[in-house]
Amino acid sequence: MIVTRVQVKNWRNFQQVDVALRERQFIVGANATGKSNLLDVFRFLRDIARTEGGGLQQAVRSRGGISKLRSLAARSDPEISITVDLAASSDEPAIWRYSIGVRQQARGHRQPYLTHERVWHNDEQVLDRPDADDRADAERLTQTYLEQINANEAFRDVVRFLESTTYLHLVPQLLRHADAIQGRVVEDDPFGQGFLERVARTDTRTVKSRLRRIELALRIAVPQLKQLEFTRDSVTGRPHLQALYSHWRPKAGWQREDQFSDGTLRLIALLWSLLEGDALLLLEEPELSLNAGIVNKLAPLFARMQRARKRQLIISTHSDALLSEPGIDGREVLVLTPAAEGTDVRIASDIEEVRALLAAGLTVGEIVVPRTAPAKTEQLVLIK
Amino acid sequence: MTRARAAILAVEDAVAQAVGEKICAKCAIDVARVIGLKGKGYLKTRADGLNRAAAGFPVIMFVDQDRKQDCPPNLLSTWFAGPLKRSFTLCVSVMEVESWLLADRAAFASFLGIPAAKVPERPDLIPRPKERIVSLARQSRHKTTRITLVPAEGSTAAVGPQYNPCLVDWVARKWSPRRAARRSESLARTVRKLEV
Repeated sequence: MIVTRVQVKNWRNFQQVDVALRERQFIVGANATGKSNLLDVFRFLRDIARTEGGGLQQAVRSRGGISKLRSLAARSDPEISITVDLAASSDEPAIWRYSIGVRQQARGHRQPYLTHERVWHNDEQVLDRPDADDRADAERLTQTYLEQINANEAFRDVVRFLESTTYLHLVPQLLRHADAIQGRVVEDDPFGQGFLERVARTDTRTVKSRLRRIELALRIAVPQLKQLEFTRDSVTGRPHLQALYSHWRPKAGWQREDQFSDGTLRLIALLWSLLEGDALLLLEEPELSLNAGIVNKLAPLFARMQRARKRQLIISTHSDALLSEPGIDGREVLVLTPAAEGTDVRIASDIEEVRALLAAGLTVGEIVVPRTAPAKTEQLVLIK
Repeated sequence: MTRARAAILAVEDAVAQAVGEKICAKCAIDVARVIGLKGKGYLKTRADGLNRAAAGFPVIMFVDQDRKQDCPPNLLSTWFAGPLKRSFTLCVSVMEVESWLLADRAAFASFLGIPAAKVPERPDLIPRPKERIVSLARQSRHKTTRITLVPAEGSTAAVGPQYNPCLVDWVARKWSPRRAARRSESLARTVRKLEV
């Protein structure tokens, strides 16, 4: 299943968004236009749906409360709402629609509460809150049915889908220096600190087959890499990745992940995530620490990995190289543009001049990225 | 009431973008999108595509002539496969967009911190206006101007470390296409074309 449409109101820096999504969806926009905030819509739903440590209250609290979540442009209407449509593919009608609205109590604990929670299954509404019970006991509205196993039987598929969403913003340094940093691993490990542990928990045959596929894909990017293996340190038992490079000294031996380049580490973890699971995967700027020659191969690589697993990818990016692939459809790109009341989100091919340029054979990267650079970037260098 | 016009701007670099945006603002044209910023070679590879795109949305392309042989008729025959669409406007600066900055003589002289008399009267006649700007900046009264616009001794760069952002900033704040058009025929032609 994939998310085929998302509608939000008053969410962070978006006053109103209503866009269709495809299997592979790119989000482009200048710094601080809200690319991560848009991805956070799906993380928010995941945090509500999660069985362990999830729920509406926690999802709002971990984001600093309603006042941090609500768009500053929301003056007369204090409600935040999110609606997602789920379908088997982007060209099929929606099977599920899940919608919630959230406000903050005007008095007392000022807790967030639901203004509505609705679910449709094939156009038939299977949940409509607030219902009679909610009206009798307002306290009930501080929890969604999404987070309550004994209340969401009728739409369990939606719960499973939303809670399996993965968010990745890989920071190779955290992985490489994990021992030295001894950092707290954020829940769901978005920064890839526990990547090796995750590999270690996977069964040996799966690890082998995945590493084999990663190795093949990596050869494009790192041609001198010959072999990739997973091992455990014979003394400490810690999991490690090691690679054999073709080298001017053939006996140079294996290198461990702490000797890999940032780009190599990032690519390995990225490719692993693509092969793992089939739920929605949110990728934050996958182009970081990779050179442009590799970055422009990422889009087709994503498409190839998606063929094997029908996993939806939503990818935020700054890179025109990533979008320079002629195979990228204008419908696969969301363009974020700052406007007077929050950020505008539009599908690239819905923008008149972009359509004219695409029809003339320019790539999305050439058209969309120069403009996403803010008009005043030049002034950055003039700072005294 | 006339409807606001909008166009796609195709430019070689940031200075040309700033100049193009300023001219468009004067001519009441809304810049819908900027394409290029990757040098002249890139524009050349995309020229014909942009001409085709003009069928769907107006395009204004700013190009430096750079060399004598790249005069507009030659550009038309070497860069484009067919005739230009009516909604495609080709604006060629002689020899470089920098000559259009020099053409706003008094204002540019005060920006550089040099006497106005040192700025050439007919910048369209100068073979390499960018080089001229750098050599004028070298004579500036202001140390910052010398540091930002002039490459350091022994540097392989043609311009100083903050050349582009400084010019872009000045163009956006001070440059007047109308004043400059009086001294540059190629700019006057461009403004006339875009005003209609």
